[in-house]
Amino acid sequence: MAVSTVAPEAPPTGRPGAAPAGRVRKSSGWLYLAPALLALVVLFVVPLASLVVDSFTEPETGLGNYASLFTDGYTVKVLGRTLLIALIVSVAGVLMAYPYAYAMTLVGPTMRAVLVTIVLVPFWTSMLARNFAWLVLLQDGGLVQNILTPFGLGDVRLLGTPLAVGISMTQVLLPFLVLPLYSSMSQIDGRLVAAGQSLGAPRARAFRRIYLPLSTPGVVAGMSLVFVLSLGFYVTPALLGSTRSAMIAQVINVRAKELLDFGGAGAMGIFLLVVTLVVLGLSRRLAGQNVAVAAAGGQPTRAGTTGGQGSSVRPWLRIHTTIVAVILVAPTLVIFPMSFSAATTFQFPPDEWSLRWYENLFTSPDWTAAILNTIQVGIYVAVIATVLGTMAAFGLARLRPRWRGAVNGFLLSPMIVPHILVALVVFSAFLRLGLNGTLIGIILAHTAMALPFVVIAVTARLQGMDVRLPAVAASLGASPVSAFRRVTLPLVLPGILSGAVLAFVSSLDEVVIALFLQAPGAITLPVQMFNSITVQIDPTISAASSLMVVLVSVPILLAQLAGARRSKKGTR
Amino acid sequence: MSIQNAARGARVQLVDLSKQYGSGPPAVDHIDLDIQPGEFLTLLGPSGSGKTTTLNMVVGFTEPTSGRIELNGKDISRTPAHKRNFGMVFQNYALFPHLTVAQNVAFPLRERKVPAAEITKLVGEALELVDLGGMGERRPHELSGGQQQRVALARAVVFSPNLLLLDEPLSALDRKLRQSLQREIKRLHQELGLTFVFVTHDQDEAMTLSDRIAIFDQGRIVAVGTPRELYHRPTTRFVARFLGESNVFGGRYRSADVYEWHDRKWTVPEPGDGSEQQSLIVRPERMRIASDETSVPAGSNVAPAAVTDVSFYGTYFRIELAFGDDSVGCAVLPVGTPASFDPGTRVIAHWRPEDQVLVSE
Repeated sequence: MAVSTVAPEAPPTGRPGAAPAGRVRKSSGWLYLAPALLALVVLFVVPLASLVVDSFTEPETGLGNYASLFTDGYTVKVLGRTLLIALIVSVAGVLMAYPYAYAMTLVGPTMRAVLVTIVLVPFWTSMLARNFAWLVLLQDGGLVQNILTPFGLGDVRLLGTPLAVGISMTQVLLPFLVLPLYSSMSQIDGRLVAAGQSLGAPRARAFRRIYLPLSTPGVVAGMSLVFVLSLGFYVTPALLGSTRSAMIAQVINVRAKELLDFGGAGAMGIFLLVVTLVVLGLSRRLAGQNVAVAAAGGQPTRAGTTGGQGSSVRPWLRIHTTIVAVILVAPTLVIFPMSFSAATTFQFPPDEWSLRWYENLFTSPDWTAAILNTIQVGIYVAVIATVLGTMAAFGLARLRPRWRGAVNGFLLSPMIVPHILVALVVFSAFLRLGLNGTLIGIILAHTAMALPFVVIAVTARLQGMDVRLPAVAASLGASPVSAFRRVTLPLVLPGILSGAVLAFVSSLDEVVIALFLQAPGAITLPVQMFNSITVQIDPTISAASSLMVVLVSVPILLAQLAGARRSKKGTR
Repeated sequence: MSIQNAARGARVQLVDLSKQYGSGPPAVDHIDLDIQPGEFLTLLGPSGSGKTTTLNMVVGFTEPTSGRIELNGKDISRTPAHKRNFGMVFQNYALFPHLTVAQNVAFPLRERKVPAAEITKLVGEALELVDLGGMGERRPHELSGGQQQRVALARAVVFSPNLLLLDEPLSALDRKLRQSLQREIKRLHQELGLTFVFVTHDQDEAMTLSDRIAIFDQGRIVAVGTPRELYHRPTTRFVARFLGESNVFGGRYRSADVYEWHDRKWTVPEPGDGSEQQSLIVRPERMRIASDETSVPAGSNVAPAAVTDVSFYGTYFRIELAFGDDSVGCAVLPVGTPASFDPGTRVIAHWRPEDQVLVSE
């Protein structure tokens, strides 16, 4: 009896470990979920609750903080401006994204792959790199101004205005519109419009009366997501706007970090959260689907088999799609030449070339420390979030359906809470615990933010898996441990890996929380980049931006290559 | 060791077996079944009648609420699935998508720590057995549905199981493939000498393949017998209706040799269960049709009817009939029957008394 420690013998009275669909022991799900739920409660729910309390009690008990949201002239102005910019960005975004997504359903598979890659380029370009690129393009004497000069608009100031903020935000958020739109459009049977035409509707009217209503869920999902994401934007307005045109996130930052007014900042953050929840709730009701999930899992699922037979890409659509594609990739294209500039300004295109900024990036102690910090944080986050998230996804699958929805929603909640509020919550809590200004603080906060990515990726794999397979393995003689090792794990592994990559990348690119928690010993690369624009003008940021693109895209590419090799060759 | 001669049909007994989920009616309600070594037994019944639950209890996925499952006289009710050594073929194949065909088939052998050389030999043998030699390096998704199901068959028999369970294995295939796989399964049964337990809701499949059929209804086994017994001598109306088509006459059994249907009195050679409330069943191929009562052979039972529809099936005609009391039926006549009947014709349906069966409700 001493031999078999590997495959534990089920006691004769025990139930068979692996069971077919619906016969899984439901209670064991909570065990798998416990670590992730505990982490979210400790890192997120408790601090949030205490901030809510603060917002009603600091500096004095009452509704004063909330009242001043709507009575204090400055705050009202900032709130109004924030809502307006968010609205403009989401409307402008839809106008750009809708035809682009529609074109994606019409073109052939190769062209579609190109268009998908172009949409994903902004995801691969770090947040700060993109904002830096827009700063370069929109600055006085920059490329955009030069292009506008022949039209007599040469002396229009862009940088420091809400217009610059809006342009950059729209580009940054476009993927969040294109992907849900495309996924909703690719499910529309293209023959329906043809059917409408055969029933007597002219092409344009058939499109308006059939295609448009059918694609509405995607529009609603994408627009509301972009709207709520816009509300909490911090980096873009801070870099491209000015204090005179501040958005609410900047005010929250000042209140919390400089004035330590957690009551006032908390009230603003809670208000932001309430607006977010209301908008997402409404859109979910309107679109009849889970927006956050749809947009987050928004890889185009399958090539639209239902694309418009017989409809071709009209010239105007071709032009529009090209323009949007250029806007999507332009910032990324600016970054690389910039990094080889010899100038000490952000001049583009550069007159002279050199490697001095790369040299500085890898020799200056500030920059190298930031790089090492970032990679260290990213690896810790990837490991912890992957372990917790994978266990949680397995737990979810074992839960009774009536619990599953609620628990899943809770696990994904860090995704819909505005980052500025997360930053505020974590900042105020860690300040009390003395975790501020430590890498541990940043790691813990990033782990909570990264958890949803792992849960989504692993859950998607688990759902794509034939639930009977562990039972099949049992019928072929596999013990529960063996069935897990030889069947379940290999099938779910791609999800775990892509979850880990996403967690790593999300931590790598995260600025707002890292900005709040920064201290001399705990500065990540994005924070160093942010400071290099706002505190001193240091062109090393262009080299750092290029490095970030490489740091983000290499893991993703490797994961995809591994995935492709896996599906082509055997797994053993 | 090779697959053929290692396999031995086992005897499996279900003793007073029940399964209850929650507080509803039991999914399986105190059934007894004695599965003989080497036989091909089919569990047949409408969906929700308990046949799949029974199968899941036998293979070990579901624990019985009460009762026992015995393998060669030994109670295995509490043995986990992976230690029962039963092969199972699932609906929709259930192949491991991340493994090649050969790796799928090798899976149970690797679990049993069979030496590598032996695995290669047995996998090759099993794939030959299902006509898939040379396909070992393919992936499941590169195969057609029929080929995938044959891989599933090979995988389920390669380790010489005590018993092979098949859960509606052909339901996902089209008619032609289904027939060719039926032959394949029958051949496998003969070559391997294994005990097969087959679940289906398709009566034709059950009739063609089985040595014996157990008919399920609402969690109970309502009849067990060979296909012929069940077809020609059904005991209840449910069995008669479920297995093949019938003309059902709802009259009364009056006395030792009289069955009364409206104003007709029919000869009854066998009394059924002897009670009054019995239906009289005539199978369509036993039903004859005459244009008037004078041409009916002496001693036949007769019922007037109207022809409502005639369909031509190549090898036979099918004639739909409406009897006087709003009940409907049909007759199947070989092509070449001299008389032709058009819809609307009034005819006399008749049959020999020994071709009828009395069944209880």
